[in-house]
Amino acid sequence: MENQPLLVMKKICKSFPGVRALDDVSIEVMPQEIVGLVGENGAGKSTLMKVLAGIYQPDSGEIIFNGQKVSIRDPQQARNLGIAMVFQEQAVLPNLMVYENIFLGNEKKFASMGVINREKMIREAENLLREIGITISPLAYLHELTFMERQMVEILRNIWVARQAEISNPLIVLDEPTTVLEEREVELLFSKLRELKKQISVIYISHRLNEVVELCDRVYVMKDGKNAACFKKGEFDEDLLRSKMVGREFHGEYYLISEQVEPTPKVVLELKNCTRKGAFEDVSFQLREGEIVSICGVVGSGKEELCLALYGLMPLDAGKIYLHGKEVRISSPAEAFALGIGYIPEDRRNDGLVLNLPVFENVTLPILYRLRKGLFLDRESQLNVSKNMIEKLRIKTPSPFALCRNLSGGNQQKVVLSKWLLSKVKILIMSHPTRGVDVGAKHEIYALIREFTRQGMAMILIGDSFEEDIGLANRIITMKDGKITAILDATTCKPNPSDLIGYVV
Amino acid sequence: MSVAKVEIKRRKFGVLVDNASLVALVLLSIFLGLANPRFFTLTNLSNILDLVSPLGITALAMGFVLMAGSIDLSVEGVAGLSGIVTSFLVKNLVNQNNFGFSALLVALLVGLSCGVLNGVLLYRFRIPSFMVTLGVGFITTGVGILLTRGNTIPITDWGFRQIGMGRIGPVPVAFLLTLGVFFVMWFLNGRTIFGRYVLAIGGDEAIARDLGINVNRTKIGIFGLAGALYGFAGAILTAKLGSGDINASLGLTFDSISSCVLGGIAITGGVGNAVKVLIGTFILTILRNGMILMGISPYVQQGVIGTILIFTVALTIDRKKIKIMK
Repeated sequence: MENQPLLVMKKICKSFPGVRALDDVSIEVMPQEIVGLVGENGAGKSTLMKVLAGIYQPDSGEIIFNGQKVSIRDPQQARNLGIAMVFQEQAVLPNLMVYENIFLGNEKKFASMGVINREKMIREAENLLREIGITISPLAYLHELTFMERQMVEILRNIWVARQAEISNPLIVLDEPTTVLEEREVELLFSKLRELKKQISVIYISHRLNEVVELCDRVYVMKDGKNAACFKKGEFDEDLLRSKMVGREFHGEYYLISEQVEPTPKVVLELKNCTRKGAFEDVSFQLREGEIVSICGVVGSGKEELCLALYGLMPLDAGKIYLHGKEVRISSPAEAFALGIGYIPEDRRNDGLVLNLPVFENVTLPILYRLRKGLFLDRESQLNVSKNMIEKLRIKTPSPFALCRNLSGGNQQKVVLSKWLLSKVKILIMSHPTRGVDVGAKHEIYALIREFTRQGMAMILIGDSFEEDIGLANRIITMKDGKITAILDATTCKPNPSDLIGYVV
Repeated sequence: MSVAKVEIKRRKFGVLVDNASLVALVLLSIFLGLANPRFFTLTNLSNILDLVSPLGITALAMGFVLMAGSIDLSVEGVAGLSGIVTSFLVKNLVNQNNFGFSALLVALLVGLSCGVLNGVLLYRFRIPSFMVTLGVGFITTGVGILLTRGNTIPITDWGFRQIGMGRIGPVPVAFLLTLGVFFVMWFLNGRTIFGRYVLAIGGDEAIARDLGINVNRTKIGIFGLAGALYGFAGAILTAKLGSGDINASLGLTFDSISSCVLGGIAITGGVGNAVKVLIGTFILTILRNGMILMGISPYVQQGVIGTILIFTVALTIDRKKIKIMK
């Protein structure tokens, strides 16, 4: 029996419009095994796990759990089978106590006629906590606990639920469980997981390769939505994983490198020792006119927070920002905009556009003050300006009056870009500008980015992949755990993705 | 990681903070007692108990709604309509009915139906609770006015009137009824699955739903229960006033919410219990009572209560959730 795998995912395929997210991916998990799952951002790890959790339905392929072929419709069903996800955003209620959280949704076992036997619940929770060797009180409120303790509560809940369904060996997926943990806590979590291994299997997703090497019995490497490699304990180290994670063919012309602009010597933005506690530390760099600087790092490296700080969405704890040589404080997006800084957020549908307004209203939103006629808005020039932009950026829309929500992802992004082009910002911060955009539109967005730099705009970029970062940027800043690990020149000689990965993980 | 740490953390926040509303109530009573010797007389205390009822009943109902992260603005309408229906059913000067105490049951049913309507509309149309209940509040008020044609319906059932006016010694019957409702709510809140789900939904609706809690059904239950209690309160108001009058319940929505807030129920949901609501009701009532005893103008009184309310909300609100409320 020991040799029969707990979980088999066989030749799973999943496509989204314009992207093949999973391409014949197969993994196996044995009972009482901790399996690592690593890959770059966008390699397909989370899509695969969402298929497993029933959030996505696979286009093809099959899932066998406990020897039976299953189709998982939703997370509820996954849980009933004994498959549980523990995400970074925790599914616990801070306003309830530990024992209440463990049994939430399953109180019927402790109740008659809807009246709860609290003592019985508390006792059961105590036993459970003692069994796993966690010394938290069942009567503590979740908001009083540390992140890791809350994680353990969530894991306990899943173990208990599985036991109730008489599943002897549940599977728990931990998605980046250590990102916010301190070293001491990571050790603690690992020792608990090793103990728990006697009764559960774990799929462990992490960017921290040293942890994967330390903890996992086996590891799968994914790349571009495919299986790239699979190693047993002792067969792999960090370097090997790294080399398998990258190593794609690199096509320079895809990113229009021939159109790349040599930045002028004029420094437009300079950061000196900028720190935001818990996010990034001691960050200093310069940005020149017409230059694209891309910031590389994994989730949790502080790159996203750095961009938010530059757009006034996250205050700095220390450090100075100089704009055109003058010290400035950026404490709100309005101030950033007034200083000539624009921002393209990762979530353009929620943060970048007013989806329920027509295209022309969105395009002209930041420059309405320029389109006045006396006290009133000049609708005519509003329309003219937007028609001009629609043509120039080749935004595919039936008319300027079409609502933005009806546009495709790529065209929505072009509307966002047109706003900043019109408002003549000098510095543009772009977070994942091509995320969820199909290949053709990606190419057009790259062309626009080149066009912007020709006009002297300077940009800070967080790309969707290392290739994108390398392809577009003049310089690359790598970050790890909130600190800059290297600043690489990419103007004349492009580095390889595998050169970068060493600096970020 | 240890039990001890958790306890230390709690002590730092302190027993005083946990029971801030009780502390406020005691301090307020002492202050009013010192400021005016009439405050601690038996007559005045009995008067306060009378003022607490039936406000305490609607406040306890509101407490459950707030703990679930919603709000209910239909109190006045539902209580008003139920009170009017009651006045038509007991012995009155308008028709020949004389159903006596069974009118109470009808009042509860009218309230329950309005509350269930609130709950059903809420999840059918996915509109915020304050809009749904505001609408239902207007509708019920309208129906009430339609039934009475804007008049009051005097009742002459003296037995029935005892639930609003009667006293056992210095204790009003209406207060005993309020106390009864309090114990029911306290039990529901602390001891039942339903009570647990109310807090879970108030804590995070999405997580609660994810864990297999039937959020819609629970919400219909919450609003239905609340509606039934508004109906009960409406019947008591009619007994108290001696007539069915749509204006009898005027101000009840604001006072119910204020009581909850003053008791320390966060309007963002997820925290609170029945004891706190009752304490809050007492705070609001003796605040009013005290200001009257001190001869403060009624216009200033409203301002004082409004100001205190804003500060209390500022203290109790969970700002991480504020986006949901707009």
